[in-house]
Amino acid sequence: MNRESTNVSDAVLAQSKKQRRGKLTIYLGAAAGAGKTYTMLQAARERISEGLDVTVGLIDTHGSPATDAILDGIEVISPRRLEYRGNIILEMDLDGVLQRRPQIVLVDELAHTNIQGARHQYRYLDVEELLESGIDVYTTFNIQNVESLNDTVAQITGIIVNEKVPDRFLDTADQIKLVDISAEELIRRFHNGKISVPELSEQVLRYFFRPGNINALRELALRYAARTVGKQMEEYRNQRGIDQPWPVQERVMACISSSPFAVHVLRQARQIANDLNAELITVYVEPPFSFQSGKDLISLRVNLQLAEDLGAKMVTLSSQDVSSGILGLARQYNVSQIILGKPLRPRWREILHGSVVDDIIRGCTGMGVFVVPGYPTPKEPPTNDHKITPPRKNIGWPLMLSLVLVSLVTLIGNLYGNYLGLTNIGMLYLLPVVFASARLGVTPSIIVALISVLLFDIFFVPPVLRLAVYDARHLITFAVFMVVAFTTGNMADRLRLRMREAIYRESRTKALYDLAKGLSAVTELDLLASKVVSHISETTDSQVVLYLPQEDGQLRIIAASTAFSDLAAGPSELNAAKWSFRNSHRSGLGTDTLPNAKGFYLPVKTEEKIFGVLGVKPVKNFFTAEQINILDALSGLAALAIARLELAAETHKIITLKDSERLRAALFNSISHDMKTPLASILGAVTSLVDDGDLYDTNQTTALLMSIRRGALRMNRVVSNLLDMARLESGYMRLHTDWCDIQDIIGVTLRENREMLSDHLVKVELPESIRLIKVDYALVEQVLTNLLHNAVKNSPVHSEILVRVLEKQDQLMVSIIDQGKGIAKADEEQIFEKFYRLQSAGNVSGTGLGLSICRGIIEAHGGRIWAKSRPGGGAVLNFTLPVDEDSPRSGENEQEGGIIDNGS
Amino acid sequence: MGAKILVIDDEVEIRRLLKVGLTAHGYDFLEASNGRDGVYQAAVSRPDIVILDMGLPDLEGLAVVSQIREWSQIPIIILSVRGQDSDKVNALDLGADDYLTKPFSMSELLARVRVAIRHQGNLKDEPVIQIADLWIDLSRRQVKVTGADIHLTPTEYDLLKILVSNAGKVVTHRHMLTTIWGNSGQENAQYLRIYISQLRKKIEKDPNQPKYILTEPGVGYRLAELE
Repeated sequence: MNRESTNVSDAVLAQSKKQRRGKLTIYLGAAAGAGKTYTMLQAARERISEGLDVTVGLIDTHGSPATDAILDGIEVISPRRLEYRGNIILEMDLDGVLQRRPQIVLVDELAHTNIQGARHQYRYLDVEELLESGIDVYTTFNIQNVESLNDTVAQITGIIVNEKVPDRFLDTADQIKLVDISAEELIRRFHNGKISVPELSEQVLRYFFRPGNINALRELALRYAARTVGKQMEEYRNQRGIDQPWPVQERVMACISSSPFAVHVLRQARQIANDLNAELITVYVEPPFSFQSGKDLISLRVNLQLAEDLGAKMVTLSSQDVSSGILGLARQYNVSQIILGKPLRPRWREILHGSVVDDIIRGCTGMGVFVVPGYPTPKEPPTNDHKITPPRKNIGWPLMLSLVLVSLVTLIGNLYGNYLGLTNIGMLYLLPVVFASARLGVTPSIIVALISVLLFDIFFVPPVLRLAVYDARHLITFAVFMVVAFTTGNMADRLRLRMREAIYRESRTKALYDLAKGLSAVTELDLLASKVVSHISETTDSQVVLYLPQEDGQLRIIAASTAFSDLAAGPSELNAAKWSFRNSHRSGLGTDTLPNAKGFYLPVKTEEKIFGVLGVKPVKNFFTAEQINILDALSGLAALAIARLELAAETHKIITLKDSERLRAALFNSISHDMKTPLASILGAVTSLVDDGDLYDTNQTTALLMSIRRGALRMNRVVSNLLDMARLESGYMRLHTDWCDIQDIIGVTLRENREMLSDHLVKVELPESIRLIKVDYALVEQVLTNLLHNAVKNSPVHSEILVRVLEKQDQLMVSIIDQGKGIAKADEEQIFEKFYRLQSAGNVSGTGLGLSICRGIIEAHGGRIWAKSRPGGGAVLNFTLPVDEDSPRSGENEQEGGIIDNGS
Repeated sequence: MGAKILVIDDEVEIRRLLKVGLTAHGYDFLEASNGRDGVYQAAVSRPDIVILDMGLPDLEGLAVVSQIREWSQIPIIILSVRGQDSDKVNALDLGADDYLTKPFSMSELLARVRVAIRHQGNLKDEPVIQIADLWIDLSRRQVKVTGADIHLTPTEYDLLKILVSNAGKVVTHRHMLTTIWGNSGQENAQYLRIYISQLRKKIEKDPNQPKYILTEPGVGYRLAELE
């Protein structure tokens, strides 16, 4: 492929995406007090004077009179006043701003963390939503709040900054404007009391506002701004298609585990990637055989979230041989730098297990390896209140059992000690140790081993009942005990982990497979929804609801796993679902958006389209990473199934459209012939009479009038057939069934069509007594009319047409038998097709609709219609109509017929 | 002087046609192009017969029937197109006298008009009625076909009596059912078909193609006027 063309299209894509989004302008400063807010407000005033609609979303002037003065006259959307721990706190009224829809909104302090109860946990997410809705945002921001610079800032200033904004978000900024003042000026401002940072104590601030700190931060800010400018320059060149030697895209790979230390590796890697202008790939190395504690899981979640925030691409590596796995991936992705953390493990473990870092350094060819020095982590509060606890192993009763076993062995040893001998008693003690290690893993088995050794020593090894050991050889026995306990326990642990992993994988595959299988045959949305919901509910053991947008555009629950789900209660749940749908992003429980919702909401979407939102409420109020993984996969599957349904509906629509297109064309041809012929005869006769009435004698006049009447009757027939066809086609044909006597219907049909039948001899054969049928009188009459018309058309004048009715068990069969040429075998089925006309029939006219209408009507009644040629010539057209077993019967009872005769 | 006939129809062509046909047969012709005007004319001009189209632009045909029936018993003949069957039946049940389905022939319309005028004149007091070969003596409950006595069950006779006393006019299913079985009659609709079938077997020459008792599909029955 042509590299340049993809490059250009990417640029176009990037631009078109930005056109829909609002523009983000960041006023970046080295520290508080640099004058960002003031500069931003100045810019805002300029925009206002240019005639743009600018409002303030939230600004804290910190009581600075200059800032207050410049704020004067700019519309402020009054912030929400929220109470938090007794204090009134002002937060931006996000919905207010969205409703007001200014062109530009000013939002101070991008790194602010919203208080509980706000929609988003962080202000930058508020800004994100504003941008998504197409509003331009001006905001202020200090360099210390850049996520990837967090460690660097901490090293420089000794202050750990908790309010961070992910690089991923900052990268979306359209403009970064640096607000820079000299360190001396800033410090002077601080000492003049012009800078207030309420969160930090006076002492910390004094330590912070020192020339060294400030200048270091200024340098960071300058570098950050410079990099953004460089990136914009490159984008500009791409957009303009300016030729340049295509630089090989550098890739940097950071290897992390669940260790809390990985945070530093990630931030460092981001910095390196930034400096190299390289793509960042994060490899999560799944520990192959170790048990992950709850703490591990929490820090893993933190790490993965951070990697995402830093804009890294995620790869998971699950390999026994970590170093070769990492190297393989690095080669696969053409990585130029591998970034690792220096392990904090003691040296003996490295000797025992080998060092991954060493192996990688030895194995890397053509790649740089950067080892981030390990240092003890400062305590960081977990970013989420969200707790994950690991599944607990039930170790109660197996431990008890092993201890009972130990006592039993001790007892047996005491009773039969003389007979068994010391060695065998020692062997017996191995049993509970092996049992414990197999069932419980390393730690409990070592405990059991220790107890066994202790009891063996005290009760059997001389000197009995004392801890001392006379014979040093027994120490070997003790050592063997410990080794057995350790190795068996370790092995059992690994096996168990393997098994758990296998079970997890299998359950995941099974869940996906089951759902896929269950959904594959579903053709209705409602059924699909309820299947998805019940399946996910079973798989994840949680309450599940599925929201889909209705025709009016409103999001509604169309399926729920339980009748009274907590997820259906209250507006906060609906809000979270709506937000998720609008922004195509997760929300609710355990996320940064509307975390107070009871449910976790994830969009049901494919690459192209979002279809709905899945709401899930776990039983224990948290999800494991595995469950979220499964949920993602399942919702993806659901999205695909819904997409399939939509596609099928679309296809169906197109086919129907095509069919009706074809129908219209055929109709046109056929109708123009069938309508114009009688019209021509009517008009011809009428004009003759009107123009030259005097020329004709009475007989001639009568003949002309008769031809007018025939033409009109024929037109009437064509029109009624067309109307019936239209009704059948559109599905408007509704049966108005009533009890009918087939003899009666035949009588009426013959009477109504006496004109048409006048040249033929019509005979009717009916059994003496016949059941009533429950049919639509007018429609069955139409069928008979069409069949008779067909017989008249296809048989010679003065021949006989026989209408015969036979009653069979549960149906009535009516046959129309003519003496015409009959029907070729091949045509027997086709004559009931629309617009089908016998080719050999010469000048016989007809729309070709009559028989297909017959079929439509008869089938609507649950009957059957078919044609046959008679051996002796002529055609037989048969149709059946169902008869109720208990329907009343005519002519059966010559006497007073029935229960309801009350005479008079 | 012929009877006065009011035609209520929004189709100017139909009104024009009826004007020619009716005046040629000696009737006085009045017309209205919508329901409101029709009701007004019916009140002001006191016509002898109203011919009413069901598909009017303003009032529904049904509304016209019920408004006229509030104060007058003048015969109303309904004109309807196929597909308005239920409207037609409702109009008849509301008190309209007869109906015709468009397209209709002039001779049919004239026959309906004649029947309506005769019934208005209450000519049915005669105890003996003869229609072609069918002879009925209402005072003696006696029925003869081509001179031969016909034995009818009480219900059959009652049915025939209703038809005879409305000879030429359509009689709705509902009317027959409630007259014979009272209010519970509606549930016995299927037996009506059976009795009619039996009645035909006794009085018709060819029950497959009845001459006397004609079926009006979806509406009811009519005793033919064979003159």
